[in-house]
Amino acid sequence: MTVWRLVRKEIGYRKLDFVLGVLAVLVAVGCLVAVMTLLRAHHSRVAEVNAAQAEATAAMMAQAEDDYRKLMKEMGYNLIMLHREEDLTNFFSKGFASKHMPEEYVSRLCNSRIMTVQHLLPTLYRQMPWPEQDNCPIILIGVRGEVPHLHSNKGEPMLEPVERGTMRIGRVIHTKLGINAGDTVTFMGKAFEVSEVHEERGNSDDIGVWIHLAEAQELLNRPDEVNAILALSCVCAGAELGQVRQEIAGIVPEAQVIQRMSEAAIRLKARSRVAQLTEEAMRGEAAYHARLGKEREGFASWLIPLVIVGSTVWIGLLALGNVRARSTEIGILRALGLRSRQILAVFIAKAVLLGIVGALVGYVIGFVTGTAWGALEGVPLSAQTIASLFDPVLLVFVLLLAPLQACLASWIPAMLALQQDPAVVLREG
Amino acid sequence: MLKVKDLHKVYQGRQGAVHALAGVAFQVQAGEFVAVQGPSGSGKTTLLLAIGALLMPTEGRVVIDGKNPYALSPEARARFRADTLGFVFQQFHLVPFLDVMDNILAPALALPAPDARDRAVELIEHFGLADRAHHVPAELSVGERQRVALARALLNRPKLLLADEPTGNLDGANAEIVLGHLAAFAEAGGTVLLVTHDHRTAAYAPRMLHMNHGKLTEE
Repeated sequence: MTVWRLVRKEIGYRKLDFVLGVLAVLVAVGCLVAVMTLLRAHHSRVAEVNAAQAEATAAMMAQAEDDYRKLMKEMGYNLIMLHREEDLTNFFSKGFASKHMPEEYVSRLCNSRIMTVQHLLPTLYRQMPWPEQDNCPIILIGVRGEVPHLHSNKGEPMLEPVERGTMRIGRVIHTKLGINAGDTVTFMGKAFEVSEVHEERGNSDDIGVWIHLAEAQELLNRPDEVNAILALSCVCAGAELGQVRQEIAGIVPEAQVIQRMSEAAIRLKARSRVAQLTEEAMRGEAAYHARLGKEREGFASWLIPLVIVGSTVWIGLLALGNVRARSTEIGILRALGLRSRQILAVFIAKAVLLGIVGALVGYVIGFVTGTAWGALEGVPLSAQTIASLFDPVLLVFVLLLAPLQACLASWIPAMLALQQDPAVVLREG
Repeated sequence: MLKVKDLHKVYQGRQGAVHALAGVAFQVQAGEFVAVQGPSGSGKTTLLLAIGALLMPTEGRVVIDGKNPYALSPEARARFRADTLGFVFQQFHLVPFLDVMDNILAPALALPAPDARDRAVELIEHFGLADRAHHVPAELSVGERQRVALARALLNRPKLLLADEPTGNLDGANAEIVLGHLAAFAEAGGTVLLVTHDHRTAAYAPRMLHMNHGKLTEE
């Protein structure tokens, strides 16, 4: 015969008492675990939403970047490098530079670690008549395609290179001279196949004729020379014109830089605006989740103590009822010689058992409830999510806390049991 | 074996003090079977509880087997009870959720002994309860319940058996059985102090004491 056997037999005899006690612990533990699981699910969900938001933002930014690149491709390059001695009044009045510079400058820039410009495009650019087309005025543009930058990868080129022996023409040239894509034309005695007719752009590009740079140099008798290097200032570096000029001057002192348009600034502003809107959206989302989390934490901060206190009182009252119901039994056990600590052990062992059973069942029910609640709020019910919501520390915590709570709640009734006078019980028995 | 000297017990109630024991004194030798008779309220149960180290007397001394249990600490007194005394009550006071075997083994909680189970089996057979060993008290007749209570009282081989109206709820046949067992215990060297109304006791207890108004007289 042991105290443990006595406890087990008594539990079997007063099942309802035990079940009610377990229920009290279960409610407290269940509430605690459900709320903690829900908060955990909430935090997990917030992290997930934030990650998704960040991913979506990155995709949006990439898309915006691509859109701007395409727009800029349509708008043209915003930086022009000319020979240092180029007279800008002459340049702006004629529309092209009269001073030529070695094509090698481009290589120098590309081989440098320059950060403020990208998409370097050497051009030989001249306004002239087309002799074979009744001296129709055109703008000849010799291009060879963008020169690869050795120290950075700037993605796809803004302008596709023109193949040798081919020509691209502007919309006005097409309409005025009746030249179509696929036609073979002669320019300064050399035959070219028209590979493309550009869409109308509403600027001097509409009278543009693009051929390969080397062929332009040959036709204009300017071997290895260009009169402009087009470039795009790098928005990622947030570069301003002064900074661009300073950096280029360090590499190609023989060049001067002008900014043709304000597209770069617009691009930078637009991009910043997208980033700002996205950040605002993310901040709003984060604030919403934080507020929701705060509300739940606030709810938990009074609900959990209330439930724990309530269940402790409940367990205490049950234990008190148990002591009263067992007064004769306690009296006879004391008459038989059981010591105070053995009587105490009978009640405390029962409380510990009640706490452990309540904690285990409560944890399972609380976990399922919290997980299901989380699922209703959008936390996916995958095995991985469920595994991430399981908190072994919380399980250990409730397995220690619940028996302790049951012991504390049973302590006063157990002490009352010890103070019962067995003589009174047996005399009145 | 038992010496009671000038024992007084006063209960303080709302309607004044009640002298349940008013200078009780007597001695019992080892192996004696002594019955205390008296009307209800004469102080018999109070005397039994005071001797049983369960009720501190207001005055006087109780010495059992050379020891005054009230001079011991509560823990030592509990151990003394388990080791030296056995109790049988009119209401049996069996633990309702323990079967016959476990009820008889209950004193082993206080005084564990390696042969407790063997001793319990021996007592079960001795009291004719072999076919009831795994029944709970609610499934037993009153006679069987009192035999279980008697077996429980004897598990730790007490030197003094204190019985409070053990036949009070029994029919004649069962009362005879219980009294026969008490007499047998005394014949085997144990000491029995029985308080009772039952006049059949005279046939079993060689020594009768009479109690009235808290005072004891030898018959």
